[in-house]
Amino acid sequence: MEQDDIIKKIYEGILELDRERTLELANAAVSENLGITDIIEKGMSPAMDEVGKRFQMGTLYLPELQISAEIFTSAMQVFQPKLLQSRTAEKRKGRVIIGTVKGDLHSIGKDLVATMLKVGGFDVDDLGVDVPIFTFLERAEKAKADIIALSALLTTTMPVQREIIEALKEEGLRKKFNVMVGGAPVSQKWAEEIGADGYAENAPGAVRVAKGLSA
Amino acid sequence: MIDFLEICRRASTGRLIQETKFDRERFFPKVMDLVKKYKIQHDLDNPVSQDNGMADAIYEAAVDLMVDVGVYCTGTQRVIEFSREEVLEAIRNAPGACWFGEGHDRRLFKSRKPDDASPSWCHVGSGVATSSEEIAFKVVEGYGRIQEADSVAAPCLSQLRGIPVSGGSPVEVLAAIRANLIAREALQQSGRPGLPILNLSSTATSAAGTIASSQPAFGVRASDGWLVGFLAEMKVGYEALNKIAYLRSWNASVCSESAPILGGYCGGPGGVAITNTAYVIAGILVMKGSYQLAFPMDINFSCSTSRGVLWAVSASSQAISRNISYPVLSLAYIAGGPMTENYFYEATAYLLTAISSGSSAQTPIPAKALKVDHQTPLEMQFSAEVIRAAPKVSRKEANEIVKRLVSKYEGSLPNPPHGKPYQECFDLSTGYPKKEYLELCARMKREISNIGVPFRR
Repeated sequence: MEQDDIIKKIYEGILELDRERTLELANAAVSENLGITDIIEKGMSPAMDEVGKRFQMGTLYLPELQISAEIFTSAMQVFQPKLLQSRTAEKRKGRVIIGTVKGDLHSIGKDLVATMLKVGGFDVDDLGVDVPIFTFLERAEKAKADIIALSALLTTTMPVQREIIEALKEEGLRKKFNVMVGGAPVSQKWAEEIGADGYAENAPGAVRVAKGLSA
Repeated sequence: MIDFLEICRRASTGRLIQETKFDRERFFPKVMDLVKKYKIQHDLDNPVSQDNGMADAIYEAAVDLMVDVGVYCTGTQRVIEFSREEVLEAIRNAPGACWFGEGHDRRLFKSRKPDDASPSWCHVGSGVATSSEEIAFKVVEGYGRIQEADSVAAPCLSQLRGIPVSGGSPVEVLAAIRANLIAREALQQSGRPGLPILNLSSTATSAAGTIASSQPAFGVRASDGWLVGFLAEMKVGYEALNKIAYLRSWNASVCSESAPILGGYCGGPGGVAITNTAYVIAGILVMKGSYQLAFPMDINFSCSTSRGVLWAVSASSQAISRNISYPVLSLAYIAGGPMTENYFYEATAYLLTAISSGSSAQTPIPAKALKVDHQTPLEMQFSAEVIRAAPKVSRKEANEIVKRLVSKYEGSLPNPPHGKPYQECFDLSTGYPKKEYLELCARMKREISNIGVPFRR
């Protein structure tokens, strides 16, 4: 298959959420020794940009955004050995540990931020909802994370974000990780008050902040 | 109808499935299929639907959704499933009305129909956090003075003697008790001691907090109402089921609370309309509810007044009210805050949409309920007057008014004005609005009256 043909079909495969076809094409590109960087830059990244646009326009929905991000990540894994060989492996932006804090069962906002961070080039470990304070610390240490991202949707669970920062200080780990906070009632003022390193009002903003922190 | 213990049995014996699989492989594809199967077509140019046939199709789709997908219990990671016969039986036996309040303020909250001239229930206030007990008291006292109010929602306390209220903590239990006592005292002072509080226990997120604060000694009554929430989408946790186990054991009125998200797992406006309708069925079946609080939200704007949400509210309110006899309160999270023009435009658009479509309503919550102290009795007074005016407006008339209102605020939804807190809108010593806010409110009421809203006074 020609390079341009693969680029077009991978672009379509991501937009159509066709995991099997996209990975077949990715494997074919590797075995036929095609230009991987070109495929990523001209096919996969524009596809994810288009997915993001459609989501904001309301013509594509959260589960489709999540699936397209997973297909993108899987295709990148197929390309990884080849990229390492040619020493042009895409530099990952960093590793993020994300979760909704203890006492809070809301997941959709956190899911959206986790997905957008993946699309934005971060490795993301999603711990889910109702996550105990020290689980964030343990998992961040184990994964050698760069950022801990804390979601809270309730005014009564916001204080847990402060407690996690305190726990990091108590354990002598505060300087090791950047801490981002978010969630409906959370504000820049609150982030500053509790000593967080970053805050964003929405998912695209969270990616910008995370990139700033890991630059 | 199957009882609550049977729900508990199914929650512990139903099909095991990972939560992400439930979201993405069971719930989302089924909603998308149902939108296609029933040809649910939204129309963003006309936010208030006038299509009875489509309303009935949305209802049929909601019944299918309940039968084919069920409700996921996050406490056990199992699906609570129902047969079609069980779903239809629950709908047939739905409580069409519920008594609330005491003495002069005892009222019957009834279900309505589209284009229904009968009054909407007028639920005033919000559970927005307040920074102090003093502000909480003044806010509820102000709500009690709103003569249109049939019931009130009490704010939650964000701290107690300087200690932040954390979910599930003993401070939350104490704060939940204190908030209930403050609300009852404030209503006494407003001269409406019999008004029911329909968002108990506002400060408690945990079952422990709700149960502990729900004693007559703490100001609550059997004639009040308790909120118990589903998790988006079509999920319920053990905290919620624990609350129901307690509340239904002494016949308290449970408000099944649901907030389907446009752009999330229920997809676009058609999917939100189906899911919003299905939540009412789930409220009757799973929560054994007496009434529903429904507040669909837009994932991109975190509010309820985008065109897509308005259309979904209209279509689903008609689907519910034409086919299920169950009192429903529609609630909006408004992007604009107190003392902004946006609040008045958005609140009017939402209330006309919901009430002309057969729902009752709560006064919309300013500033997306995100800002501490960003609620006052003045914008709630205005909204209560719109609630009283709205039943005189047909769906067709509402659509024309709503289109004009939406064009005034939709450009600012990405960056809405948050407005000012209670302390800047009201005189703290008297508990009455400041001149600047009164003037804005009077000007907005004149403008909105000229657009066609038939205010009583």
